[in-house]
Amino acid sequence: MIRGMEQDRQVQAVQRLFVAHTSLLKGFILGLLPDYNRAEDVLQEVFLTLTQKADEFTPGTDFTAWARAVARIKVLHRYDQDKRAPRALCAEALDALVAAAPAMDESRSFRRQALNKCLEQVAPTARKILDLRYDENLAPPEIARRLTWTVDAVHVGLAKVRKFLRECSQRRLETQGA
Amino acid sequence: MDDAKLLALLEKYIEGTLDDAGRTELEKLIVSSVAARTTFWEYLEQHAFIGELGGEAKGRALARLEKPSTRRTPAPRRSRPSSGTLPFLIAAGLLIGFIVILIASMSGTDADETRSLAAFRAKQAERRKAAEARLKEIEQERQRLLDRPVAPEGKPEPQKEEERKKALEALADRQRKVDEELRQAIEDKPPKVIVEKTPDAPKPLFVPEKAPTVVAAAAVARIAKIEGGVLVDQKPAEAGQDLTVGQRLETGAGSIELLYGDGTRVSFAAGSVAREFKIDGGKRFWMDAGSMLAVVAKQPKGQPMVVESKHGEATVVGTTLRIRIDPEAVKGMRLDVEEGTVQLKNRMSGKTALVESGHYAVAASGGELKPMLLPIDEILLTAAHAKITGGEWRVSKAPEGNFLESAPIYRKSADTNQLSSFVTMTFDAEANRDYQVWVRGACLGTGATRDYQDGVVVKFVRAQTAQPKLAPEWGPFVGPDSVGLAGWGRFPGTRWMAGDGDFFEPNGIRVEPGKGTGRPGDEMPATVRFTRPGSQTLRLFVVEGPMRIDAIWLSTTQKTRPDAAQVGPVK
Repeated sequence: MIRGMEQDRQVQAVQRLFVAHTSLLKGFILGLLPDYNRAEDVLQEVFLTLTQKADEFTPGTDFTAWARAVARIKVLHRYDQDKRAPRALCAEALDALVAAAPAMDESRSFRRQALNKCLEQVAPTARKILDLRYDENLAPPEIARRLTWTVDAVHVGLAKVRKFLRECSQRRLETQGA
Repeated sequence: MDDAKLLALLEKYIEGTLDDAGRTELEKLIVSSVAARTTFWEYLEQHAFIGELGGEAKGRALARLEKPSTRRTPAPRRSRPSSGTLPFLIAAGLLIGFIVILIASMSGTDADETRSLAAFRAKQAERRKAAEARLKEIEQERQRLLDRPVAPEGKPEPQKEEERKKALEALADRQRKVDEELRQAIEDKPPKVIVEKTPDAPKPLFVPEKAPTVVAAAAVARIAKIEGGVLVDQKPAEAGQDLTVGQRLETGAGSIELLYGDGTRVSFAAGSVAREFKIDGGKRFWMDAGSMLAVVAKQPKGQPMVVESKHGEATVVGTTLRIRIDPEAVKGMRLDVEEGTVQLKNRMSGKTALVESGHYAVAASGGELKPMLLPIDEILLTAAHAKITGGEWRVSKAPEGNFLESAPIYRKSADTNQLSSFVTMTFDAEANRDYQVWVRGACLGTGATRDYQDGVVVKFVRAQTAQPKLAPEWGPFVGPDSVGLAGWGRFPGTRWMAGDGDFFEPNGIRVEPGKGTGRPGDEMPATVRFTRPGSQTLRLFVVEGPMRIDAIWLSTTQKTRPDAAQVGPVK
């Protein structure tokens, strides 16, 4: 019974860490698997696996590294399962990316805030494409159908607005840094 | 490193349109350049943030629309948000969503603490946002005052200048106050004791809590179908009636199907007793006895569907799936997952198992919680499973569902290995079991030659087929791994076939219907037996077309021709 209670505590500790790192983990998964729905599924699978393996985690060690290792396996598994999806990047590239993945530090929240501000400056048409792509989670062909645009035009629009957001965020962060 | 080139590649990577050459180029850049890896993560992090920020904004909008939820007798609390917890939970988006999953597996006190902490954080974010909005207004007002035109000669009018100075001072004062509010909003720490803890009354083991006391019972689902005398709260139920929060249903000798607002369907078989239906924070109910089959639509983030029983708890977290639970006292709670992923928790041991598609697990006292492979009895393959090679087949649309349509081809003789056009289907099946092969199709030919426009061959990989002796004409087409099917041209409309529908004598000589002792070839279904378990492949070839194929059904149980209207195995 005591062992059971100890296990429960361990599970809860891991789940709390998961909640605290959800955004970071989701970002990591989206990096390796850029499709929102599939990334969301993988995130849920990671949650369940971490819960199942909670007793393997040693408090005080690097939770992010552990969770990312699990997430990496789940992402590769998902690629294997979904034959219609684009192929995963090669193992060497994935390893390099995993090693360079951003950490959970203060600068992350600054980047997020900067992007939030920049999103307010997006022109209405670009806002519309972003809403359809991200809020409604539509693929470019469906967005094109809704807006009666060509698919290429949607791709170009998305690329432009993402480029604008990147540059705007960088400018804001530089100003804040100064 | 060419930044523009990398961004173009990343765009395609994000949208899933990267071709092989592009992928190779991107991989090369990532492996060779630190700067490329940095840009990759910047761009992909932005991709993640846009989605998150959009979701939060949507959550806040929803939160404003959401009414405070009806709660069961709340414990006295300090620092409880006045407008209810639910709106803040929604506003906090994905992060808070997962807390709901946590709550499902935590003790009551921990769950309350987590919920309150989440509410605190959400409230803190709201305060910060409100303060930032006020600061923005103040800045706009300040700019307006500074931009106000001065007198034509370029000198400020003393009286107006004085007013403007006062207004600017007042604004500066307001700004200081809002700055202070903003600082507090950012720096505030959650109180050490957010929830006033009240000692829990001892609870009897394994007895679920009582149904919540509700002010007005909210509809949980609609009764879509009902057979026999099903009781809801001990009164006879009717189709079309709403099932409300906290109600209890008892199927007796009947059965009932519930339809939720999101399309989720739950069917309870005879002998089932279920209660405590809820939808607040996710669909949830308790099963005392019986069995159920659920087809669950994808659930909102952090709001999994949960089915509880004395022995276990099944949490539906994946995409669309089917589950079946048999909570018998001795056998415990059995969960079969046909599609998707479900978490099963054993209440006795507290252990959880992730039960994936095609597996089952049993939560029982003293039993091991280990997912096992489900037997695969029935396999239904449709146009959705088809991958078409060459130009002889295409997928056509019909109101009742897509189907495969072949070109008008007549082949007198051919080795299927040499044919360049076919349909490929992959599926899971067991090894060393006999599956009857049924094909639902129709001859699309018109006129007198329909008899020569109605033949297909199904060829399996790593399998052995058995079929009553076919006419010699089939020889070149049908090997020991193939099945020949024909005869649709004799009949109007769609029909299931399991071989050659012509009439044959036992020696394989084709005869006219009604003459001799011949029987239709498809009354003696062909069978296929796979040599290895797991993923299998078949190929469909047209021998005589134009043919329409709706489905291929491999069945361990269906030994006679199904009715034409039946579209596949009955669940």
